[in-house]
Amino acid sequence: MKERFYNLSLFALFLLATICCNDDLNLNIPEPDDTIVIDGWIETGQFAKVLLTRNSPYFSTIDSASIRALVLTWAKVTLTDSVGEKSEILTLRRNDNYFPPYIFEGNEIIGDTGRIYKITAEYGGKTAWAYTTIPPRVKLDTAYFKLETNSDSLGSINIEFTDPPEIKNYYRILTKLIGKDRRYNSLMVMSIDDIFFRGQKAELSLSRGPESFFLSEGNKYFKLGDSVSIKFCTIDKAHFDFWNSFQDEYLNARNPFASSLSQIKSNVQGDGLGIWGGYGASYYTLKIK
Amino acid sequence: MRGYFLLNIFYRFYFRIIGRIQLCILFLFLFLPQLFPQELLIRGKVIDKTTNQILKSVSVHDKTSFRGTVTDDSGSFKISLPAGQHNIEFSYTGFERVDTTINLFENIEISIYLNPFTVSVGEVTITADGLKDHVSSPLMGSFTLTNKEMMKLPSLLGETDPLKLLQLTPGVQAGSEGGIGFYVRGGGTDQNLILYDNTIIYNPGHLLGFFSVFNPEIIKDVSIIKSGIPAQYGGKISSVIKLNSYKGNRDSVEVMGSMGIISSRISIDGPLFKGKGTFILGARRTYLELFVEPIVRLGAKSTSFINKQNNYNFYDFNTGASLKITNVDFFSFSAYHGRDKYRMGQAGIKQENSLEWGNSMASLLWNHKISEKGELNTNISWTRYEFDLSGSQSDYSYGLFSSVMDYSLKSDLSIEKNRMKITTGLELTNHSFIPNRINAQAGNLILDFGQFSAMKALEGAIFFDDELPVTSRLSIAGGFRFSFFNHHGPYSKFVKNMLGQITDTLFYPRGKSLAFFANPEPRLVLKYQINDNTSLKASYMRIAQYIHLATSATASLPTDSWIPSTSKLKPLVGDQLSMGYFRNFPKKGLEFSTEIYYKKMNNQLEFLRGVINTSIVGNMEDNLAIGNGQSYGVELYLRKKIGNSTGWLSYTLSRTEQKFDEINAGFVYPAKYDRRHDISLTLIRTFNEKWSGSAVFIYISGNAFTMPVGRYIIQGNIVNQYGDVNSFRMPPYHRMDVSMTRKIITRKNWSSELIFSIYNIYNRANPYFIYFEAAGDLEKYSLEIKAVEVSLFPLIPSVSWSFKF
Repeated sequence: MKERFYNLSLFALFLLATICCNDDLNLNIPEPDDTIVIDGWIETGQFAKVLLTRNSPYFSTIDSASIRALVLTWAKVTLTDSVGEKSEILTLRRNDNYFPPYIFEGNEIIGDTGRIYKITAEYGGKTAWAYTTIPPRVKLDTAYFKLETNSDSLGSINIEFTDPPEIKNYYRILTKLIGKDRRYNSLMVMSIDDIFFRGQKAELSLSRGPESFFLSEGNKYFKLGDSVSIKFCTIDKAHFDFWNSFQDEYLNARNPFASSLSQIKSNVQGDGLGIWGGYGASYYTLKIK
Repeated sequence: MRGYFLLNIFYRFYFRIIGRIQLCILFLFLFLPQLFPQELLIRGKVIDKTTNQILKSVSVHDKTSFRGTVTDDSGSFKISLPAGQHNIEFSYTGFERVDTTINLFENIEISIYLNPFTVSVGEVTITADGLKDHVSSPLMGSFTLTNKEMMKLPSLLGETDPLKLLQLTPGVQAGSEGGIGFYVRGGGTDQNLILYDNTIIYNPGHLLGFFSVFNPEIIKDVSIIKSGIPAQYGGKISSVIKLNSYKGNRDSVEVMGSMGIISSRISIDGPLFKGKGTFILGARRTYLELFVEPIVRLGAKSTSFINKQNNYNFYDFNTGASLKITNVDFFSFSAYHGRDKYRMGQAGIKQENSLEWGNSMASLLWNHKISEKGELNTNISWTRYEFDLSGSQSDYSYGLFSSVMDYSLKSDLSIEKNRMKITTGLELTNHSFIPNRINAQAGNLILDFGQFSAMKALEGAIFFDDELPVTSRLSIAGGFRFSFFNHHGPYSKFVKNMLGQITDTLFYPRGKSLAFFANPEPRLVLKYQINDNTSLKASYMRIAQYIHLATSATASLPTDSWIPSTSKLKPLVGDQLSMGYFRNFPKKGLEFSTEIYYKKMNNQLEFLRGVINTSIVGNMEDNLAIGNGQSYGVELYLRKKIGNSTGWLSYTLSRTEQKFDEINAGFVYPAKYDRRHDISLTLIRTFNEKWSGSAVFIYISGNAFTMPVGRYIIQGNIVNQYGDVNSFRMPPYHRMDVSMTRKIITRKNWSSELIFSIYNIYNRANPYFIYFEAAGDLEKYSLEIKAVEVSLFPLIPSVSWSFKF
């Protein structure tokens, strides 16, 4: 009798446990608040550029119609120079080098070192704004191509520069293959803190950055015959924090051993997200022969 | 000769200085016995009749006066009783009960021999053995598992693991699939004091935490205390886990061993010095590289984390000895050394990584009987945990080293005075931490991570525990611990300007204090014995924790490093209130208890970003959030200890919350290990002389995690917009494991067993983590995002063979 009871209860337990086994990922995700996304920058000697979109629910499908709906073409985007001295309203242009291919651009205010710039985006009763500065430029001492060992055509670009010891610096480096890439792409390391080479001569090895980090595969090399434009920039702390946390997110989002406790650190305030960043940019062209 | 001389000096020192301090404290309490009638003392030892091994945690219960105690680590007990006739019962799981009648008219000393149960088919013996302790001891929230019980339970890949078995008990929740890290009543994995032969083990995990460092053959028993922790323990706020090692037998040399799918182990033990002492030597080695990789590959739906050129193994060495020098002096020694070695390379991209970590420890315990009623236990120990990671890819190379090393002294004096049992003593630990020493080189550029000097600290405490019967039904176990922590030099501290640049270095010479903390830690347990089989208990405790685990993950990983409290990192302080109802059903051989608890944890730390970011000089405080947590819940526990079928059922309903200014915009959020329901059922059944079997079923509510709720586009990239912190739940975790044991040969001096085990018998794909994968091309206007669930262990059968001769 007892024996039977045990056998029965074990069987019942087993059955219960088997029924529990259901692999459906039932994730009830609430829709996020409608938010303005600013993806904008201003650099030394150039007009401001702003891509303006909205956020979308996580599992919504993406196709041409839905992406078109994310672009805020009717928004009012205002650029203000150094605490209200000068201001202008940016105009929307189509530019297929960017994605989505609509970009707000300035016509009057040109980026200048040491100044503060405010961007304001207004759309459907919502307002988002952000401030940034353009830090002093740092020049590269040299840039040269270095072949990978065991390769006769592939390699990376080595750059050398001297970190100014008197101020705290953050850097961001982008490259563009002339005639191939439509825009400047960031290195895998999206921003660099001078804490590692304070006031020293720094030497970095650049590999080709992918167009999109979330779809990219592996490292990309430069090769003999490439013409590469290097955009070497200094950025401010908030701008650094954004790219640094963006990189964390890119590296950690799929990693079970890393926790993702924090959102990407945006410098946009109000009903907004994203980045408004100033670049102290200098450009170099290297023909790999 | 020199050793004896040192011993002598220590002996004198102890009684002159420390003894005086302790006696001052004792004095306060010694007047209390005057209030009670004259009592007499029974002292004794409880011994296993077949092996002559001492038995600890044996319940000693006087049926006449309802008083009881349990035997200590050396198998000894003391009980004070009024003069007259007493009926005393000795009981212990797996042994026959002994009932003795004693006419007490003077202090006496006795030895009790217990016979192990022999179970034969068709005969079900139900007695009340081992149950009394549960109701009558002043401990709450405690649970003990003996080696015999451990060995019968199913295991992952045939590796019985004492720490994982504790996860089957109420209030203890597994950290992650297969991992040895666990959460006790809402406390983090770093809040458990894990003592192996009275010595702290900092990272008890092998194989990225899937196995514990404790060789099951060497472990005699494992126990946990979750509430009302006696004052002699401190330093970790959530639990005390004690693992006692087997020190060998006094009769003959014996060899035990086991061969399993992933590892083999062997141990030899026997008598020393004509039976005055015992010794044991044990070793364990994995051949994991041959088997685990294909299994993990099979289990993980995504293989992106698994590399092709992997090489992994671990090993352990254990040794122990015990020696009775005089009738009053007993020594026991224990040492452990273990290492994990992992190598990973990818020739294609010229990548080389190596990871090596492990614990080493040694401890010496001296037990000295001062008088009939008092004894002195002194333990000196050394423990070290080291972690070394290095890697290179083309021109880049890096290294990360971290370690923690302690020298400790703990000395306590127990005195039985009439009906009181007093334990008082002191504990001193000299810590030396290297949280993270990083070096990195890119081509000719050596990256400067600042200077990493070791952090030194002295941690200490004086403590006092007193068990005091107030009436025949009500008793108080009160205690007090005064702990302190001194972070001292030599240490270089950097002074920084507003830009975060180091402008000056302050050097603190040896011994100079950088931060000092002290905390009074009261402990109290009240027990009201309603009748022989029922009691109510309530407890309060406060514990301060001075060292923190810098972790970047939910799994307990070797990369987690320990850091001391500093002027910026305040000690963690935990307060816990709990109440419980304890009931035995002797006729059915069942024990039942239910406890409710509320726990508050102040100054909890979260490391907002990875370990490397955290350890870069000047960045630690930037990446650190300090906040508070609380946990409350109810636990139910039913255990059957007697008969051919034994086992237990445990259920925990709990909630754990945290509040950090920097996380979730300062709003309260569920801790990542907040699990609403946790059920586990453990069954062990002896079918006949040859066969026995066991089964374990576990159901745990899903882990809390943070989910993206939306996404947006930045420079052609899709970026996640996260919802509230830990506001989503993974699917629940459940699985069932079974095992069958077949005894093969049973001759006089030779026995062996085959153990068949199946982990996750119905092949449940339990979520290990969820990630999101984007497919398609955004610029071609087609993109799909899928949630991908990764699970680790599918159905895993295993077999192992163990022997003893």
